[in-house]
Amino acid sequence: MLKIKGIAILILLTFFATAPMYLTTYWISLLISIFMYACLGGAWNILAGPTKYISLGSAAFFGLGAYLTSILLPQFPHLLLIGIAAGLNFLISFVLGFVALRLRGIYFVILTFALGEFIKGLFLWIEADIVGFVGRYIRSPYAGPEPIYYLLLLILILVISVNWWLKNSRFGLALLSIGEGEEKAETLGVNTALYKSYAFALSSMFIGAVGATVIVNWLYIHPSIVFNPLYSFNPAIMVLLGGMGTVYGPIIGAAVLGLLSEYLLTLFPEYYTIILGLSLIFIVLFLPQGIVGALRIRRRR
Amino acid sequence: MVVFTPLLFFDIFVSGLILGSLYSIIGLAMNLQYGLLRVLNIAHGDFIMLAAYLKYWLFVIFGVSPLLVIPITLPLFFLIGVVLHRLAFQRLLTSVPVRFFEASTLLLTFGLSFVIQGFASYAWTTTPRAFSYMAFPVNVLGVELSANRVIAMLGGVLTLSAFYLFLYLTLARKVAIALLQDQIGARVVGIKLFKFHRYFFSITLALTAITGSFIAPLVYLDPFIGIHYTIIALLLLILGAGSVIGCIIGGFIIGIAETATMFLVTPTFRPMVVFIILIIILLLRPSIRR
Repeated sequence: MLKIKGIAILILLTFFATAPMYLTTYWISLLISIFMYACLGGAWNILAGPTKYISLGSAAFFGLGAYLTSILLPQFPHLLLIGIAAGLNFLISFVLGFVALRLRGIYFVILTFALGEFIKGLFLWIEADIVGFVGRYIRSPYAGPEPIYYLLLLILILVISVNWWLKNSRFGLALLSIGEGEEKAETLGVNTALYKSYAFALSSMFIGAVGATVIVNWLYIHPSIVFNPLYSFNPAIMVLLGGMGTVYGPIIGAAVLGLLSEYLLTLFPEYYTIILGLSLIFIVLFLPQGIVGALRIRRRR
Repeated sequence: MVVFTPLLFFDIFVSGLILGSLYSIIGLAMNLQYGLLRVLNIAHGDFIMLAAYLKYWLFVIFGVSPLLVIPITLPLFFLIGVVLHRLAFQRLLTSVPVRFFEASTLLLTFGLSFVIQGFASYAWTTTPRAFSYMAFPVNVLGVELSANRVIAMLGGVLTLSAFYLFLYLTLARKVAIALLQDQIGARVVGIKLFKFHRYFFSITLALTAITGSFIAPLVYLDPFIGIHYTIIALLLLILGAGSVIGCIIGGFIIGIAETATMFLVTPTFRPMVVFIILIIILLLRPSIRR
């Protein structure tokens, strides 16, 4: 079983690593958007999967990474900026986590959503009232989309490894115990506040890195685009569809919803949000365990 | 530059109170939904938007007097509530463990919110719309206000007080509390859970229809205004912590804070006031850290 899995992963990896050589630009850009969502979903899953803390503030970290890059890009190399964005997001959310993660259940959901909208408003206000102009153009340092593709593939591999590591480490077990019962975990000696903050920081670090990476491909940045609440909802919806707390769930969810959105956006752009909403309703009602979870239940029978 | 005079502050205070009373109405409707039914309705603001649009179309196209709109939208929203509950929420009540019920309704209504917004932007386009009805000024406590604002406030206060009287005078509130405390026990003594849940949900949705009709003449309508009202309702849910008085006072606080920011700081800062208050309250209120 393990051998088959290893071979499958190896084949997939060689396929994706060599994909830009024989796929058209259209497919590459489609893969870029799927990779982006798989990274965001996987990163979101680091906190939400084991601990069940649902954050709807991913857009804040995504936008922070993107904005930092867009401002500093003329002076610094892109790779360095991705690193800075990741590090900065890690620090910010590590500190923020100690305060924010004291809230549980719906209160945490509401707080993260409010934080995201607050930061969007803050950037809009700073740009309009202090800088004097809203939105800016970005000059990509690369000739084509391939470097972005490889960078995202690299981040995706890192995100998957972290998710896999969470399944097989003391740290991951501690997080899982928080999700199963926080008071009990605390009684057993788990430093819940510290672990939750670590998970939150790791999750935002990857989200910020993704923001810093893909923004170069977009050429134009505006607070309403990069802080769009859709960057908070979509990863969550995709992970819920794929299966929360599983390693491959976020990727399956991102692939399914990413292809579906692409198909819908080209064929019926007007119905896009309706179908997105309906799919979320469908997931909540009929697939509460996600695709991976449903498959597992079937296999057990 | 703004000239600071006592009159200016009084102006801010009164218009803040009017705005705040509208917010209280929005918050109270959500408070009922969450407090009695444990349904956390993220689509709350979108239903308000839907009701406001219905009023706009009934008035502009069919020439229905805005005062007669409520007898049309109210039963319609009640019906939507019954259908929606039968199709979605009832399934959640049976299939989801009680401790996940709130979170599941939250995700479900997020989806619902997307569907409503998508439907509205498809059916009515994203062009902002507004209509004018009873916009002539009236004098309230020495401050000039448009008549529709005052009517909105009075109408909202009347509807909600009527509903609260109904709650306190009949068995409904006791039934709700019994269900909250012990679902199985309540069912043993003969309370029909699904029936109660369904009709109460529909009634709260009908209340949303009323709120929407009162707000319609006051704003520029577009399919995305709902989110602002949802956020305000959520904020009031947390500020009020389930109490009616807390919710009303909270509404006034937000109303005055928003008006003051608009007059004294800058209008672009206004949307952030709600979030700042929300974040501060969430972080400081010890009772919700459970």
